Amino acid sequence: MSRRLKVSAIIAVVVCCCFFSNWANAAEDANAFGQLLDKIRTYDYGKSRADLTRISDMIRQSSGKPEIKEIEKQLDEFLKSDATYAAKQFVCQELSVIGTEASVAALAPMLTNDKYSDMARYALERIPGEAAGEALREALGAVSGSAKIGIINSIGVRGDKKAVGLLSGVISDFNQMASISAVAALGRIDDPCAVEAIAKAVGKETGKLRTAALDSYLRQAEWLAAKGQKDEAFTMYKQLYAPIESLPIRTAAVRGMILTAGDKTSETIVEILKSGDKPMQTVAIATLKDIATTDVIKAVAEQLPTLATEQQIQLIAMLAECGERAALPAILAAAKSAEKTVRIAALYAIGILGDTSTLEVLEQAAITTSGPEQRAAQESLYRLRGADVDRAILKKLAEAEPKARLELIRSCDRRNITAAAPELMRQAKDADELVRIESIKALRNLAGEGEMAGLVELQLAASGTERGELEKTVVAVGRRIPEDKNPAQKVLAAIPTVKDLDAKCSLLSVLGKIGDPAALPVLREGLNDKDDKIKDAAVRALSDWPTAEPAEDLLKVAKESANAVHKAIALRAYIRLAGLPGSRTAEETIKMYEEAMILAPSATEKRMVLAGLANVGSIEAMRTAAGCLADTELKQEAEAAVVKIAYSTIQKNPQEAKELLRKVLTGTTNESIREQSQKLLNQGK
Amino acid sequence: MRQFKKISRRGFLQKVTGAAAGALSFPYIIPSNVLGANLPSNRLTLGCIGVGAQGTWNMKEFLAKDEARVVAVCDVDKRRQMDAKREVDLQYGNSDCKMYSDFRDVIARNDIDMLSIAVPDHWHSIPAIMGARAGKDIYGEKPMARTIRESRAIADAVRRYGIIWQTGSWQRSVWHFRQACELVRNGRIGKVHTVEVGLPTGGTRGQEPVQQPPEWVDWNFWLGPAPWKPYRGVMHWHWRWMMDYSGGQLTDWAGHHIDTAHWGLGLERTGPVEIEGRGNFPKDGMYNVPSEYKITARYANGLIMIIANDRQLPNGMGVCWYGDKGQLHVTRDQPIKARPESVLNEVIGPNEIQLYKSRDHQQNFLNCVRSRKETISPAETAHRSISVGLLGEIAMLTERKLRWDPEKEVFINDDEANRLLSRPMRSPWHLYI
Repeated sequence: MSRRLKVSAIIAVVVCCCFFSNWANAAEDANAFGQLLDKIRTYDYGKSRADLTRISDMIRQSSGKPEIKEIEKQLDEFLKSDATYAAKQFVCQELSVIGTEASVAALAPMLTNDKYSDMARYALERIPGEAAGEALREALGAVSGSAKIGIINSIGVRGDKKAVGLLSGVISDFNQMASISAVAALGRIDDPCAVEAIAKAVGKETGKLRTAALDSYLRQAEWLAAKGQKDEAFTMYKQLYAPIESLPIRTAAVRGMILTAGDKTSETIVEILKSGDKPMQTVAIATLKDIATTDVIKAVAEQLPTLATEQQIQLIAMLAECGERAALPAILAAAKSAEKTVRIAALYAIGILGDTSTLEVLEQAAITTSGPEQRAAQESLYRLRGADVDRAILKKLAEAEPKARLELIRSCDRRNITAAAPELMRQAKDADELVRIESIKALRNLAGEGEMAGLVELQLAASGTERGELEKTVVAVGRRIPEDKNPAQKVLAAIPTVKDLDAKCSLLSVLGKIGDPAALPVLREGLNDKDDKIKDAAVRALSDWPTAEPAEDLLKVAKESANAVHKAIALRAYIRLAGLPGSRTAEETIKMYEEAMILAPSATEKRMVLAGLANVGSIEAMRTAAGCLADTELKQEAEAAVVKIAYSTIQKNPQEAKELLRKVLTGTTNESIREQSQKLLNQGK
Repeated sequence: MRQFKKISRRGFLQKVTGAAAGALSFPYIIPSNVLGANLPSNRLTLGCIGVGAQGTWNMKEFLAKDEARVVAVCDVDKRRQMDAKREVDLQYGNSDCKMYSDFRDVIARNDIDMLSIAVPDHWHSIPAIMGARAGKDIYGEKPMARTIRESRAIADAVRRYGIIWQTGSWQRSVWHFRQACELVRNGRIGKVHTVEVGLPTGGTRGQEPVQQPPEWVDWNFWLGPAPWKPYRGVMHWHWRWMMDYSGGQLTDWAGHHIDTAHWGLGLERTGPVEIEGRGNFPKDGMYNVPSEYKITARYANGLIMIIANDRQLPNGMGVCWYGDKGQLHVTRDQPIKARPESVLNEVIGPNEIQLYKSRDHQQNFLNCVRSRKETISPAETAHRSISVGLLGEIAMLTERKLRWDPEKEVFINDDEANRLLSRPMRSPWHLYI
């Protein structure tokens, strides 16, 4: 035998083996599937559905493979068996996904059986192809009541054009629900004869049936419009715009007319706005956003002064929302309206549609008006868009009168114009106190590292309220400077040069709030200062520190200070710092709280400790908190802490956690604590 | 993807048009209090359909607003009807609130301007579409619907009848969610390539025997369009763990965190183009929604969205966007986390994207009912949020990568998957009843 023949023979043997093996496997699978199907014949609700799941899995795994045909065949056969309702329902659901025209023969007879009609539809509605459609149409003539309605609905969902005649006949059925279903189903069929039948019902019927017909009519009009037949759709909508129709129908009609008017859109909207029909005017205005072209906006904006106050306001808001600048002249005119509410609406709208050219209008309104009108002008100054607006505001700021400057400074702040910082530093030295204060507040958000030295200088020179505002600004700017750039550098540099004690204390105060580690030595030194004012400022500054770094310093003050106020401030700060995140272990944190508990002079501080402990998810913390359960002054906080900690410890230390929880449960009078404890105790059962 | 470290040093048509000018209000342009929205003569009437846990919560929010008047409560559970009526009557000091068992009777009342709908997911679409057809403005609970087709039908009806729709995706009215989205939208973390959405992990439950439904509940009405099943002791709240009525935590939370993810990316009016996922569906027991799930969706711009239960994501619950310049995570009851942290100090200027502002979800709805402007969580947006969740569900059920056309809203070349876009309804229920 030649080498080629040998290879061919081997390949032939392998192919045959594979074929027979696959055939054998397929036969085996079909057999296994059949056995499984047999097992679920007696399946009922409330019983294990494990075998149902296995069947679903097998079906899914066979999807798209040749064996799915055999599976479908077995499912079809199953429907003819004496299996339970529940089992057949399950099989119909499976067939709804994988069923083909082959399953129609098994499902069709079920349609005319009231008990099984719904489940048969479940599959047939989804099975594509003419056979399923034909089965539903044939069954329609043979059923009544609920089954009939169901079949009508399924025909509608399938959009079966061949059923239009049958459904048209059902509209005059004595069963109104069937009639409604029929007209609703016709609304789902893309066919001119369906539109004709619906139009007939709209003209002839009354009540609920007509309402359903109108809905179908509208849906058909939408389809026509979507297919590009806008003229036909417009005619249908215009027919429903008649005053005898209900408000919802007229609403839909007006919307439809506007959306299908094509090159007559402006004309159509203007006609409705001129009609004096307020509800329809409102609908037209609301529809504007869907067709907001420049020409339409211009035409509509021209109608603004002719409308009633309420429609004017609505139109102004809509013009703003459309964002079409062609409406701006009309909006600016409305800002001078005799009606205050119209002016307010216009001022808000200018903020959206305006630009640099409208800055003056808004600035003047912000200065000369009050209340809601002023707020509208201010808000618009803050939101005005355009690349040049910020620059124009800055330019005005340098030249304006104090009252106008106040508004412009606020605008710089709200608009986040960081380039305004140098000018604001200049304004912060203005002769007008209000201008100075407003500038200092704005610098809080806008100043950067470059302004820090100047701000510290201002802080030292200021007094009273102004110094207080400057302190807040220096802190805010300092906190924005990255740690590696020494945020407190300018403050620290100023300290040696300051002679005035109050000014020095002011600097120490900001150091504590900025939290730059480079400032800690200065504050520690302050703790030992011979001057009580400096010492006091240092204690308070360390107490404000944003991280846990000065915890030990504060503990020392709490333990050793001769000043009772300092002791109290330091202890409370120490308890706060113990609750801040850091690299400490839970044990170290608990130790901090335990020390604080020992030092705590009153129940108030002890409660603070318990509140902090409650956030430490460890059994040791739970134990410490439980140690306070017997103290009547602390009982409530201790119970709350134990329960809170239990949520994170009960899995890891169930025995001890439960023991402590039982202790809480035995002694508590708080219903919520009792419920939570019991719930936690029940978890392990 | 890296986890964040701990932080170191840093809300009626006729009433509108017929009312005094002073009663008008403008959401996010003119504050409602400026124009006197609280005039008693101008109260908007509300009917509450579904007054279970969430429905009652929403109802109480409306009860706290002077400009709204709850006049009807509806539930298939008579006990809940009575509880809700008691709450309403207590608030108003009268006994005017009417009780209903059939939502159609509430919708038929011409003196009701608005509806609050908070019913099980499989019941969302029918009252919503019927309410829209009756011209009622609607505060509807998320998710929009149980299927993508039903959800689309709601959004279409809302647009058709020009009604005001607010979805119960209230995170949009919580300031730090808005702030996070605004930062991401304005490129503060660069171009976003991936977003992780962490949702809760689900649970399981053993089988429960068939039993008589409580006499105060109309079980057949409760089932409504869902396939008929006997009562088995599980109904209120826990319906969401059964596929006939809901998709579990995934679809329950899609209207929150997937919505937030979309908001931050400006993807609220589109959807993914590809999706795949794996879910752990309980093999037995009463609950059958996936308890654990991981879904990957790809959008047309290349962005990848990973949606999973919290235990499978490095940052757990919430939304985490990853950009080429940093990352940002937002969730409930926690401050925003960002890398670099300096992103959090960024201010959004007037020339940048300013997202819709609302600090009170129900108030935003009331404001919009008066002004006829779109709410902060409109129907189309909510439809797109739940679509991702439902697409993920279909991907898990078919166990294959699916290609999705977000314009036509159909799967490409996948008949089986397309069948799962809608569900046949039990007679006599249908979408346009």
